[in-house]
Amino acid sequence: MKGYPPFRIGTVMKKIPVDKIEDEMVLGREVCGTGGNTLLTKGTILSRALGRRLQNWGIASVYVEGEEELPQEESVVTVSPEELMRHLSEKFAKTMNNPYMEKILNAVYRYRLKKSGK
Amino acid sequence: MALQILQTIENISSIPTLPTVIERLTRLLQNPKTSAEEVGKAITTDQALASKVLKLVNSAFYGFPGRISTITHAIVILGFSTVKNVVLTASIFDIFRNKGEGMAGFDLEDFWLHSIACGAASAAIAKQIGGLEKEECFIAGLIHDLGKLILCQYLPDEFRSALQHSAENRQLLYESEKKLFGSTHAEIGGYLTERWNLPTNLQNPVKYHHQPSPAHDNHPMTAIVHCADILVRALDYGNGGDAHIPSLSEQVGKSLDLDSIDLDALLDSIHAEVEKASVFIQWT
Ligand SMILES: [Fe+2]
Ligand SMILES: [Fe+2]
Repeated sequence: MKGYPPFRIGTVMKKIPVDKIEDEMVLGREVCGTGGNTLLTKGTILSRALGRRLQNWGIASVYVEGEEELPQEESVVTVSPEELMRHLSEKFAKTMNNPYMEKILNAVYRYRLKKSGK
Repeated sequence: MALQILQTIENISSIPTLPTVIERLTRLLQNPKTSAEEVGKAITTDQALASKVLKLVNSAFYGFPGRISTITHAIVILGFSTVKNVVLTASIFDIFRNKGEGMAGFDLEDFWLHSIACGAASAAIAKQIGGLEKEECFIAGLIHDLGKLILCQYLPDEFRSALQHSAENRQLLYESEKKLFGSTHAEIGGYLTERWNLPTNLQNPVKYHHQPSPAHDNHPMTAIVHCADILVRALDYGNGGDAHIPSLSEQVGKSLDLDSIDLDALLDSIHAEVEKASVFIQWT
């Protein structure tokens, strides 16, 4: 069997990061949210706009129909605690004399660190 | 100037309208003798809308995945007022999705997520404090920044300058709008909710989400939306066109009793609600 292309049953698929989604691509596997609920079903015709939306929803990559072109390097995005604090402090800059806002800032900081850590 | 802006908008004939079925539903629901069949019939006269309503009620968002097969069935299970809210939600989504192009500094996908997340967060807060209808709070949050869509589409030059002013001067968008043309997206959105004949508990959160006051009717709902807007900005769910966060009104803090609220639990529940609202991801 040597020398033959790998034989695959079913759909030929490749995994791509959501920012590489192009119009008319076909989803090869369903996409689930972190809670396990289905966001998109297999066979959905994708579009760039939908790719943006998936990104907004925290989905990193999807399987689409088609042959693998290049090996995909995994890109992992992590935010350091310092970066997160800087980002939030900038957003909250004008509100820090409000004790409620301080409480919200701290809770959001804790929450986002916990989320990014998993 | 403010008057001029509102007059301009009033004279735009292509301003979005809600489907007539909404008004029919409101009238039907005022009559206690109305049957589920009658309401079902009214909704199914608009086939496209009816199928969207079914899709929604069968999603995780309303908690009956795949079990409701007809509109009448939905009414029996969910009740009149929830079904009316679903119809309203579906109609509003249709309007949101058809609103053309965004512009530099105002990406429609980001705006869309900001709106959905604010709706979801409003629902989560309502659930935590109790006493208000969750689905209605979702709608109030969903439409709170509706005025921005109108500005973007019908007064693009004014809106562009407000976006720029807000970015350059590190001001909130509504402050820049007020300064540059004397009116805000809150007023403009509020005007639209009046034109649509929405109930005041949906009008007022739109009108006053940046200036909440217990002196206005429906303050609890407005307080929830005011707070939800702040939380989803802090969580960076989408983007409503400006980078900063408004300061939480002290009165809102008091009326929601934010001092004794478990914020960690609330943030978790907001995340869960946003996830459930992801049924809207495929809205076309
Ligand atoms: Fe706003
Ligand atoms: Fe907002």
